[in-house]
Amino acid sequence: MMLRPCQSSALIGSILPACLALMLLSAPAAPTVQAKDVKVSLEMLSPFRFDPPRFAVEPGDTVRMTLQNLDITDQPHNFVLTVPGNHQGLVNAALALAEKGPELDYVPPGDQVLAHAPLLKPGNKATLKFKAPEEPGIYPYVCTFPGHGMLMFGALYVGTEMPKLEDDPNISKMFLSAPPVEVTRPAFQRMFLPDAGPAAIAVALEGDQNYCWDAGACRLRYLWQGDFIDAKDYYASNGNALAEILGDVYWENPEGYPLTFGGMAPESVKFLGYDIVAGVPEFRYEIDGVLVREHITALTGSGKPGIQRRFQIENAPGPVHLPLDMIRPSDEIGVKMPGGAVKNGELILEPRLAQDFTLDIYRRK
Amino acid sequence: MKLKSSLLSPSRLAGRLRLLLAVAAAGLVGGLFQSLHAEDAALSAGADISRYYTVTPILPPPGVDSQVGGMAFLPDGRLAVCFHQGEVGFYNPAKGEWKMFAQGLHEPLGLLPLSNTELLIMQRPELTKVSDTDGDGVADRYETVWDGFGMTGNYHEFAYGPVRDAHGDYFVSLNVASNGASVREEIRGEWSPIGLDRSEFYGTDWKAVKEKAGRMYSRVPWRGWILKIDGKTGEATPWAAGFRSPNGMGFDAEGRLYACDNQGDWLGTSKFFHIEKGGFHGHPASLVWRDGWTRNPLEVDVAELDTLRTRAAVLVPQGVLGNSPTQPVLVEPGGKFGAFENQMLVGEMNYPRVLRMMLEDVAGVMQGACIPLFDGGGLNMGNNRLAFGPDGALWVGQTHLSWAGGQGIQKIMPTGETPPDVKSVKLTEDGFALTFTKPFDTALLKDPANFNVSRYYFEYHEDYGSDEMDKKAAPVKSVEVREDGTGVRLVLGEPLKAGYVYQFRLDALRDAEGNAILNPLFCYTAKRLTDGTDPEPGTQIPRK
Repeated sequence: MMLRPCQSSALIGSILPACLALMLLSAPAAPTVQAKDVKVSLEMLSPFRFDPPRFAVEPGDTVRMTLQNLDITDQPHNFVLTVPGNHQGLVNAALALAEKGPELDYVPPGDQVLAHAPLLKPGNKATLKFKAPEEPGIYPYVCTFPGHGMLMFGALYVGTEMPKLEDDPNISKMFLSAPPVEVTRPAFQRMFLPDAGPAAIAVALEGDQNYCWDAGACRLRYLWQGDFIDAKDYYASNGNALAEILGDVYWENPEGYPLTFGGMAPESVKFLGYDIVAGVPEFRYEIDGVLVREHITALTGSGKPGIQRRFQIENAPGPVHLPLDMIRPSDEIGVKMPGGAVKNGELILEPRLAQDFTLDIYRRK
Repeated sequence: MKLKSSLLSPSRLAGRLRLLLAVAAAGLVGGLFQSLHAEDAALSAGADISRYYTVTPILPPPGVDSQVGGMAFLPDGRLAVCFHQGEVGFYNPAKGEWKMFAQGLHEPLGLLPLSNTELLIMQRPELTKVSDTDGDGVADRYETVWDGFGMTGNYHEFAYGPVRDAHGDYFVSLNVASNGASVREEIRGEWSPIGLDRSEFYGTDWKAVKEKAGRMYSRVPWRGWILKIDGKTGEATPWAAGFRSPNGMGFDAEGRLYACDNQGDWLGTSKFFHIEKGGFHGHPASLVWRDGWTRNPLEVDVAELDTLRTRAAVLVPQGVLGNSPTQPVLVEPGGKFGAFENQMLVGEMNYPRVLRMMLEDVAGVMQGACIPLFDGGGLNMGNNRLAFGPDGALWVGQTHLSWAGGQGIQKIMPTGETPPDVKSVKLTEDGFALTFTKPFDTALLKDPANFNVSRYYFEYHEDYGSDEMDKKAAPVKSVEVREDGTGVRLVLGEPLKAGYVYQFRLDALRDAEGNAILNPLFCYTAKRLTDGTDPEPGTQIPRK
């Protein structure tokens, strides 16, 4: 196999090397099919993914590639096309470059490399032109940056039929979706959740009730009925995903504060953590320095789907005002109040009653 | 920037290639995260690692994603581990059994036992004390110790620690956010008005404006900082700034605090810093939270930042010795790693490697060299957390978080045979003094050609990473060999240059019995010269 320099490419910006050295694979035999130009746009993505993960050409085609590193996780990537069956050999050879790696862009020398693009920093682009091998086969392409090689690879099919994507042993299956994590109720999981602050907690109660608690704002954010959460996109990545709520959100409280003493919005709320009581959190937080404990459990006995919130405020300095915003009874939602008076849109409980009270929220249907 | 040509003449490389292919002959082991076996590892070529160390896998608890965020031994000798999906398990090494202790944490990335029933754990949103108060072996209390830092919901805002100093106070470290993503609608903490307007973070085309946010940004409190948490009151004191991804802190034998940071924007390569109060460690995003700071760090001249910054004690050259160093741990005297007592070991994500730091005080600053403990030998990649066990082994917890890495737990046990290794490196006025772990072949030591030294620096700039700048050979002019072969004094043919990395390859050396040197490659960072000379500010920044 002969190797000879091909041509330089156009690049963006001033931070890329001004010249790309490319390799052209020369054709030892006359093509049997009319060779053509094939344009391929290849993206380097997180986590460790080439997109497309594979593509097909005919022997002798001229491949004109645009490569772009769009990895949001700040990983540099290169692209190295190698001979059939040499994926591991190429990775080993790249690692064996040791301290020579950086200056070679982690591209090992020798015939095993058929074409390559340089190491692209995130955001950078390159173009690459090479002639597809005349020999039909499956040619691996690999990012040979240290640590990436066994994770980030794809396949160039030359004059060869491709199997179904999911059955293709020649492409990385590294981060194909895993099934949702089964939950054994009750359970609680701190997680990035939709429609909540970043310090959120998802809780799966007995039955099919679930809620989202916001540990930043110290309050219940929403309730849903059904399955718990699917956090696989979070777990399979580096955290750039919200967990999905697997059910029917039937109650939410997007704004406001938990409760207050005397009716004015509290000056400070402070999350103190939680104790596990009957398998689920009993939250502890301070409102203007006063300790509040709140335990949320599934409603039992009434036959209505819903939850019960139990509050314990031992040292309320005055009447406890629960904004009714937070409760929101409606045609759909029923609320069982603990007594007290409703005034100016607030439920008001005397300190004695506030020492230990419950508030039920349930679906009327 | 230097032009890179990848066109290399096969004939010019033929000799080297033969050697490399021989080294790379064996295949990778199976599984999603392949590890490199000893015979594959380039740096330990020729040495038989199994003679000096054994690497044993520990089965993770069933059904748990075995990526390790934090790991430490309890006083009773069990290993406490927190995992990627928020579980905490205790492993009993005597019985080989796991018992799950806690659940539901959000990306816990550090763990410190307070007793057999109480752990401090740093998770994304807070430092939490997790306790079993009723003695049933399962945690029933999760207390928020400190959550006084901001969160934008950006994925890159990882939180690490805690480590505890001799006074019983804790240190935690916080990542900056990445402009690979924006911020969430709801955030926790105060928003800094310095920089790109918040409304722009919610525009429809983040890609169009993200550069203006900075590649990494700190818009809520203490992102890019190390903080000290009072062990009694839980009160936080901002301690040092200028970090990008400080995944891993630890103390040396004198109680000095060290932290690693990861190559990226403003970091020409990965770094191992000595941390002192008030330091600024080079990544400017976090400066917005400095008392009295009002300017957009992206608009501050790099020359000014260069004068403000504290340089690394050890630079870990990218692609040479490490791409992502992690937690430092001290080798306590009297253990199984006797040859390296009082040195620090540091995990590494992208290689099947643990690094060893050879530090010294040079004219008042801590600096030194990094070298693998060994390379390969059955060790996985993703070496995120290290802990010495009661058995004297180094236990290693691995993760990847979708970057390069691995998962699981392994333990490294020295066999008892002292590896033929460089034990320490000291800078002299005209070169280096090396000490070996055992007598070496003096005939080989006498030949200056057996000490292959090159030097280069990493540029300080906003761009991602740096090339090895001004890289040149620094030939050894003369060698003075200690009579018993346990050390050499090397004199270089050129004056030492402050701020440069000196890279050594000693492949030809053998111990007195003829065994190949275990780790022929190491890099010394000449942060300061013995006469107190520091790099001239502005000499390692981009030329205008």
